[in-house]
Amino acid sequence: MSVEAVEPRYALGGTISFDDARRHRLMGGKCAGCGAKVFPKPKICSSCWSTEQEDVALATRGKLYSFSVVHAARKGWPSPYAIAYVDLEDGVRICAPLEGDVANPPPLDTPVELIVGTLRTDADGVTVLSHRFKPVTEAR
Amino acid sequence: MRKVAVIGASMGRIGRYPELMFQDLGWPAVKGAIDDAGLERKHIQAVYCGSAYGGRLAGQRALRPLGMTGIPVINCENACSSGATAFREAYHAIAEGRYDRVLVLGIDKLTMLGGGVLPGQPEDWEVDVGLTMPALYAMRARRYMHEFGLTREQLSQVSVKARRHGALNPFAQYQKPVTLEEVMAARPVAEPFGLLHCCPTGDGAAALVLCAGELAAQSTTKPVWIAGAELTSGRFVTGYRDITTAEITERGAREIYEETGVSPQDVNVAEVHDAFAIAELMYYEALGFCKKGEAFQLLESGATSVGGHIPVNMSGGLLSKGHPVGATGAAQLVEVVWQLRGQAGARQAVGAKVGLTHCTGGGIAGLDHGACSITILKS
Repeated sequence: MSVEAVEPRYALGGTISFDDARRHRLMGGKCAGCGAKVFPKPKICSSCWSTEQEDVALATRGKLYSFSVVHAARKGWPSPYAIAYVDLEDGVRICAPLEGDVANPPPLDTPVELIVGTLRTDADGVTVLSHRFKPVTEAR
Repeated sequence: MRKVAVIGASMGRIGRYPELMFQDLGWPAVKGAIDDAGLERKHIQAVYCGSAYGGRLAGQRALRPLGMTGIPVINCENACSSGATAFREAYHAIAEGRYDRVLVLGIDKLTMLGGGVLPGQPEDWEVDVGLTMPALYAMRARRYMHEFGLTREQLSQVSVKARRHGALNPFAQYQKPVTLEEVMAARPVAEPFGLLHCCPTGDGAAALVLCAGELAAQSTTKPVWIAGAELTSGRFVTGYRDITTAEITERGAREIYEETGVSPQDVNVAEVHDAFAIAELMYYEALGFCKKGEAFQLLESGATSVGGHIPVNMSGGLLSKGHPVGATGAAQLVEVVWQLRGQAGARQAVGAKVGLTHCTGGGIAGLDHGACSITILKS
């Protein structure tokens, strides 16, 4: 009996990749026309209408702008879970699940960093991964 | 541009009516508004219908039982602003001379969707990683609390006020007052919100008849005049954004005050889009009823309650009257028409001459909200 390797399923395709040291990177778009960085990468820049969008690794650290612990979740989502807005160091704001004990969440403006983890299990029983953020534990 | 008057207004009690057909939710409001205007169906030249979840041909389905067919029916979808968008389009159609008498209907039946939180926007990446509508407002609330020192107890006072007003409104889904303790202890939905910081889901329909100014006297001795009806969409911002400021509402308010010459101090009664408790406070500020960060002081002073100088959500608002999404804008307008005619019973804002309705909604990544409608009416 062979075990087939199951490709991880990501909530947002094309947003997670790895650097040379196999650390997770969060991918966004950088506009060739005006330099705007956007997550996720758009097909067209909403500001200058350039369709030349480069893949760019976004900052992996930022600050916790706000969050909520969600108890009334949509069907198929395990609750409670924490959802946040994180302001990345390169000027991008990102909506992301917040890692950690939902009963003891960190205060706003806490420095946070990127991890990749399980978001939920989808209707096919497959684990769905996504970017998440957790409070920074060690100095860089 | 011709002057336009509201000459008929009607709605049923908002509530949960899973056994009622969509059409049977709608036609009584339509008939009520036409009766109220002293007209017959043959006088209505077009219908503008706002609905967010009603599906295709919502207007035709609600009009069919009344035999109101064979006229143009324009269906409008703009999330929570659907009904107000329909009203705005009807107003412009008459003002520009396309029609003389038009009916506006707002209708939605949320019990068709089952229970729980509303489905998220399709293809929205924030929804795909777990954002829900209550969580979006909850994040606004948490940031506002962080920046302005608002406490959860103070936030809860919004719900207490809403339910106090709703208890005076026979058309409200909830007509029972609640205590501060009950709001604080209600089961959590999206922290810091508990159940009573969130509007209920429900079913409802509201209708209005509008006519060219010169025809108003044929219908009523108390026409309500439309001073202006503003509609705008949210600006797409990809970077940092201050979510404690209601961008779309602030901009919309600035535009309509300029267009009508009415100032926030002139408004005697207002219905604002309090889908969640924090929203009412943010909108006091965005609509210019108080300065940034001072919304709770305004609430606490009693200014926005029955008997205050700027009573807000005398109907109970979305928190107590209920929020059948696409019907809400029309229901707010019906309430303000009744207020300006002096027909609002126990919740009447005494001597109100200028009224404002504000409706905004639709979660969409990168925008404050999808749509925002603000209307100013005068007696």
